[in-house]
Amino acid sequence: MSSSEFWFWPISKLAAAYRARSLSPVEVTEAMLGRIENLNPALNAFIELTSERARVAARRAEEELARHVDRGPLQGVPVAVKDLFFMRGVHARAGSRLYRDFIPDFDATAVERLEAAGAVILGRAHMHELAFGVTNVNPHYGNCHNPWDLACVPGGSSGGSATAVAAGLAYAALGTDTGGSIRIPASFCGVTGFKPTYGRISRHGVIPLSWQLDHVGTFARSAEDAAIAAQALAGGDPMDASCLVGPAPLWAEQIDARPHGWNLGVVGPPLVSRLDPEVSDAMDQAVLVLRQAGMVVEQVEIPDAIEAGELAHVQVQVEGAAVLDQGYRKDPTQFGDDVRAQIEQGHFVSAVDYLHVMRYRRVFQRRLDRMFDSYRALLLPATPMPAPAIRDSTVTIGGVEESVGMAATRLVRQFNFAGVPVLTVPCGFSSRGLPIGMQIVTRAGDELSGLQLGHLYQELTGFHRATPEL
Amino acid sequence: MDEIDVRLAQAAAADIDMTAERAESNLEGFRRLDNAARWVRAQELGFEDPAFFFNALVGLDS
Repeated sequence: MSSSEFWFWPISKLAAAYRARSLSPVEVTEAMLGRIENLNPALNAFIELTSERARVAARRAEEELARHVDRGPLQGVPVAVKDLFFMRGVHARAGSRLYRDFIPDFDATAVERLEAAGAVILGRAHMHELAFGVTNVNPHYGNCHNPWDLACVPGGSSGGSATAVAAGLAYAALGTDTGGSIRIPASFCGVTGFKPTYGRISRHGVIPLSWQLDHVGTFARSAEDAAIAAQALAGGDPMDASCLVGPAPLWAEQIDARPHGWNLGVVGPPLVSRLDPEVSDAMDQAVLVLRQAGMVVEQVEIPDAIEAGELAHVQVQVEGAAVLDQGYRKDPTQFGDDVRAQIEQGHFVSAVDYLHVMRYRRVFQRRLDRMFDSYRALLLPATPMPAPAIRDSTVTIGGVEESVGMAATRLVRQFNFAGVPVLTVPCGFSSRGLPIGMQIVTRAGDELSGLQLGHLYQELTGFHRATPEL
Repeated sequence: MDEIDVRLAQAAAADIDMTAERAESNLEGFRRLDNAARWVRAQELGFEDPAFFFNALVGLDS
């Protein structure tokens, strides 16, 4: 990377350059919009640009910095917003025909806070239809493409967000994660994905998929940048009853503490089994790096983790079917085949079974929580394989053929079910040059440990600094 | 009555207009949900409360 490629810089370096007047927010914003114009036709990471809003924000940041009005590290930093966050006067289509003409008249709390921190929103990041899938293959607005191999999926549902960051089209991006929708695309695109504790970031003004599984989070190139972005969004919100109370934690200020001697559990079978051998090797290497850094790592088993993942699937099908029920009954053909099928299936679960799932959720949450009495963090791959080809609907791993959706989500859904924070960091590349991602799972409310561990790992390895050739 | 007929009857009860073709294409998904439901019904849930999950998390910062 040449020093002029500021679109891959860490946010802290960009912020320092702004304050040293060696770069300006207007200059960087214009350069990013030009870069999007050049690269987006191939990637389809942005579904709509908000160029004028971005230019206004960039000018404001520039004027404020000239007057020494400092809003913090996001001031003047170009970012992307997934197409399901409300922005006043801007389409929020959620990648769907259902919301094709929907234009909200207020900003989501996350958008409001992002702009209050001085961020420059460049546009709307593409996504899987209604966040109800993990490939970003979209029958309505075209597919989003993986910047490491355009023939591959970027993952989803927040595929455009991950692609934008990986391709140097944004320094950070907003996403949501209901069953892996931040962690899967982060893994496939080689960026850092951060899903904080359920309710840590307000969902007000976010088109829902599953009220009790939807998590708002961030993408960035590093754990530090993901923390900077998420910290600006976190904190209580009276507009979202599920939002955690209290002020935003100071993750970015504390991320530099160098963890040492922590007990870590690397998750083994039955949950973590049947991996692509290159994913398995990358995980082994990651464990080695952490051991050499002074961590005590041993293999652990999460009780009922496979079943918990299946129950999370039940929950998202049922809640998703409820969210989309009226639209479905009006015209089921307005949905893509995969989304329509999931809505239909969700209608077939009884209310009693759904409540049993909710009851068991508390059991699983407590069991997982107890594991954190012994381990500061749990480690496992984000996905059992690198990004599959867009044309493939199934993958074969360990001799077993399964749908891409089933494979991509089998290691992630459990942590939506438990509501715990997870950081996903790049931990290697396949022989075909596709990124591999590792999840760092921590106790509910303890995002900081995951961020500190992820930050240390990134300092030791540098996988997060790799950039795709575009 | 085969499995598709059962699904069509269920769909009709829920006022869902479903063809036999769509029911068939959904069979694998239906079975997956059924298996999960059977598993959770067999768990010892005692007096476990299905109260909204986030109640358990609110207050983490306080």
